[in-house]
Amino acid sequence: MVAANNSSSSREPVVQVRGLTKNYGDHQAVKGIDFKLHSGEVLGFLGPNGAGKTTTMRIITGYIPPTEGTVTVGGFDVMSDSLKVRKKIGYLPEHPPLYLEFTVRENLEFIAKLRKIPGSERDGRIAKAMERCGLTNVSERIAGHLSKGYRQRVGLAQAVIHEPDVLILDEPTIGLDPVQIQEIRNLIMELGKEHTVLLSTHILPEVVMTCDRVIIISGGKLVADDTVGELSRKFGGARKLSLRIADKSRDIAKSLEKIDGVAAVTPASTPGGYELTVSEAKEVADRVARTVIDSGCGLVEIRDEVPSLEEVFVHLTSN
Amino acid sequence: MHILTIWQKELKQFFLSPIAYVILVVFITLAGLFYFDLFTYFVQMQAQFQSYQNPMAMQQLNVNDMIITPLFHNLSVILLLIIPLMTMRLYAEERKNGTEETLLTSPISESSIVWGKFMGAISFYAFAVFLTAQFPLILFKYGNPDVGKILTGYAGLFLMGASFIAFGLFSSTLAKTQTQAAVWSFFTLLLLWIVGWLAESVAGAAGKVLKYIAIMTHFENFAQGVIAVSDLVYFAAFIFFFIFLATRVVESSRWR
Repeated sequence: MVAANNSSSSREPVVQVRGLTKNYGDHQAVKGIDFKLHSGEVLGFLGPNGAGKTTTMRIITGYIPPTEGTVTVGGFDVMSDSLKVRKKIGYLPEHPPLYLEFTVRENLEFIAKLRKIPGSERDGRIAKAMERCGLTNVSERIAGHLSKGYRQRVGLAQAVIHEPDVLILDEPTIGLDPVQIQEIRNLIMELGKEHTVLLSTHILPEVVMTCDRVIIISGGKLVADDTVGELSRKFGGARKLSLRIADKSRDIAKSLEKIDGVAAVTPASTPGGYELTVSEAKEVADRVARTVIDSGCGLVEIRDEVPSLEEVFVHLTSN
Repeated sequence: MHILTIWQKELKQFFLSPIAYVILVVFITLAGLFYFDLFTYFVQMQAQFQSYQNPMAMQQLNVNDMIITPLFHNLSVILLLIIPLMTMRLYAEERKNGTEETLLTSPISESSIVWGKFMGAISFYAFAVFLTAQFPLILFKYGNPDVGKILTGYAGLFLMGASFIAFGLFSSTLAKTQTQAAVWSFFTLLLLWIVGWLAESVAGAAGKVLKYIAIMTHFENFAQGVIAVSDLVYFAAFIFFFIFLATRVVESSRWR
């Protein structure tokens, strides 16, 4: 992954964002961000709600103009060569844009025509997009009758139907149930094999699962630009284990502190619960579990605490 | 090419939406009621004049002046009520659905979007107006209607409707909701109508200007069987002006 990143840095990036700033009246939504998206890469665009992710994506797609800075896609400027840029991009906005009174196929037919796919190829492309996104069974259903997960798939099919160079996906898993989230993630990983993808989300594990590289934006500013491996290494240093035992009357904090690799033990708010700051979560968890079992207190739960996005921000901004 | 794609989509949406059928039913029902009223009045007058045994008066009585011209006037009033309902969703709905984002991030020009929508709406409107053709056709069975006058009346009705649609489309691009779009276009079109009455009571050059602005003035000639270049220019200018404005409003999201 690191090697891929090194080799791609010498190539011309597919999307290049330079000094991008966007003001809405007095409010500055994006404050001078720079990043590159290389060919074949799946780039996670991470940030809390309101960080400026949607604004940045809308500027890249040419939907809204930047206040300052430039964005090029495939070498074309999004402002001066808007039409050329639009041909290269497949875009899924946060709310899948569907004509709810049309069937799935009718929606895709309209997009295929908008995208100037010749009539002779149209049916084939529609069939392919539906197959890739798992829509073949629902092709004749009315879009307004579909679940949120299926609407999201139709949105994805619309975004890929013209085989764009770059896919821009704005929070594709938001508002879905866990099964649907898994399905959409798998779908995105599939699409990532053939397209360059910029994927926004506010869920950290999602990025770890689907992306090669991550950029993090907070309050309109870029706070990190790293590979996923690099990012997890940075946060692998100080991990937390959450522990809960059955026998709430006993205090085992002392014996926990003696375990090799445990830096600190603090009792949690719930009785029988402890928060452990540990060095390398994997081996330490084994030892902690063994200690608890040997003590006869009864192990109820032991959990590796994934740092929340807020903690990542605290970490990133404090460095 | 792209205009046709949008045009096709709009027509499909019209015929898939329940409101389109409500509009058609209301339009035809109102037109039918007006027609029935004019027709029965004509028959009554005919019976009355026959009882006077006055051939001069019978000459005055003809279906052209007593049914066809007033029918076109009545239809034009219905348009004022119906067209804002037809045009309100044209752009406001795209915005609400988020499909505006799809349109504006697709390789299609704003003018294709707006003209395509305009064509979709006038096609639907032409269909609604076509359904009223039964009324003048019935007259051929009983009288001697003037074909030329019927055709110019329809031409006038079509041009006035197209102008209303251009304005309605413009309000729909400005409005945040469909209701807002309908209210704006209804009141503005009503105002353009009322200007005509005002022109009657205002003397001098101001009166002439008002008379030219008033949309009814230009429809009047068509209803009387006259096609004047100045009226054609008025309608064409009206349509192009508001389509131009609507296109600018759609474009504005790219530079706002």
